[in-house]
Amino acid sequence: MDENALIRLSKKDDLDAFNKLVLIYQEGVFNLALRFMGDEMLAADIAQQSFISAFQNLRSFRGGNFRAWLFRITANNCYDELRRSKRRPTQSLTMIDKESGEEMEEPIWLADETPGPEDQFTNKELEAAIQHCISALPENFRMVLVLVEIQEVSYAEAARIAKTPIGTIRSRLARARQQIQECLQGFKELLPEKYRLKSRSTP
Amino acid sequence: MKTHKKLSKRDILLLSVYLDDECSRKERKLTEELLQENPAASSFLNDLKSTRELIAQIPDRKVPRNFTISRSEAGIARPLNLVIALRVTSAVSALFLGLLFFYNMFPGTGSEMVAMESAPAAEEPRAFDKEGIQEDAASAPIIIFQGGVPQGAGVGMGGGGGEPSGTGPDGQVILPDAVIDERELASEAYLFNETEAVPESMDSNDDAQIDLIEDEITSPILGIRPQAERGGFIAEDFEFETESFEAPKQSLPWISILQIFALIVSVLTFTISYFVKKRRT
Repeated sequence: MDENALIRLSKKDDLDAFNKLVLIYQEGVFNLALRFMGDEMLAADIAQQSFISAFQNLRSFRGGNFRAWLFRITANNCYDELRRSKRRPTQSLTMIDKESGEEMEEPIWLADETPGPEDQFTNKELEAAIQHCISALPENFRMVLVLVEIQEVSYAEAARIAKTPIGTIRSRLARARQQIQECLQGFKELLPEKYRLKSRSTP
Repeated sequence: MKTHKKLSKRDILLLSVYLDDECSRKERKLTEELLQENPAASSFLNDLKSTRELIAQIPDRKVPRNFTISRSEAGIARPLNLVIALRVTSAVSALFLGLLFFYNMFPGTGSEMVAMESAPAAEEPRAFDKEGIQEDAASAPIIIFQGGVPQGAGVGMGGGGGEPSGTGPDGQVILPDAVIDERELASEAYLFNETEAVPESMDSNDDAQIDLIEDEITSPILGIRPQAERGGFIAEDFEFETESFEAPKQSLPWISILQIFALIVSVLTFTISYFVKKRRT
């Protein structure tokens, strides 16, 4: 059964048909949320919430790219989650040792998990480095970068998803690329030779 | 001549757009000129390509679980289970069918009473057919006596005794008179009364009269022997043989229709529920 038929059935509250669409797009939605949020559990929650929202608002889908429509819902949920996390009280950096009851000078959980220059290169570490640089980007830049670079969405679709003019998408993407390049310079030792940056001409 | 200049924001934007091939014709021309003139632009473009490839190398993470949603999550009320609904309908129809059979088959349920009422009425025996007797009386010859009814003339059945009717004391025949006495007609009416054509002794509706006549005919004071000894009959002892009628046990059409309907519904719903369940499993 093709995508349009599944969407038509889903609009008639056919949950089985919609769940088939979920199985098709769940990986893309989850990875978009994961790259944007940088947290797997949060990403899973956002993905789940996105699909529920999508089903409940399916009648507002007027055709077009269903994947882009799903990504837009996911992006909105990501922004909402970020706003909620900003409103939450920050956790104290002082960690109390459970056994002794004394303050820990260097809590283990505060240790920098990003790989150091001495760490042996692995794909996992490289992935963590890239994720670290993505997470360091401002929200708006991050979303555009994830959409275009990772999810391979066109500028026009990214503009619709982010509800932003296409010119803004272009400039945000250029700046995001510039910033991530600078960030990745810090992980030069991790990068394979061909990926090591040569230019130093950033303004 | 190539000069190594610091790239402006606009240059970086052009290079980024050029990399994704999302630029206009004019932008493409400008970018190509920039790449020819400024080696830093080429270097930066190569770095952009490398970064892009690097990011593209990040594998897509597999989902930790399926994100399929349940009805409760989707906010859809759970529909009535079709199989259960069909089976309940089938069971109710079967029960209804059983009740109809019980109603139709067993006595005392009211169905037979209705059948009795609908049966044809038993025919009355001919002996009690007053109209028949009336017809007989109408066809019988009327005997007219001249000068009154002679004394001792036998009236009624089984009279017997006395002198023959219409004869004088010396046995001469009394000639008929031209005038008919009203009293004679009255006595005639007694014999062939239109309304009382049935002999009084046989009229079961007038018990008191029967008793009186019976008393008279059996009165020892009057010296009359019991009627039975005189060859008469007593109405009370007279029994008529009638054809026995037994009401046929017949079903009413609406019961049959309901039975057929209940049977069809029961079988049909059970069959559908079977196939629905089989399809789902």
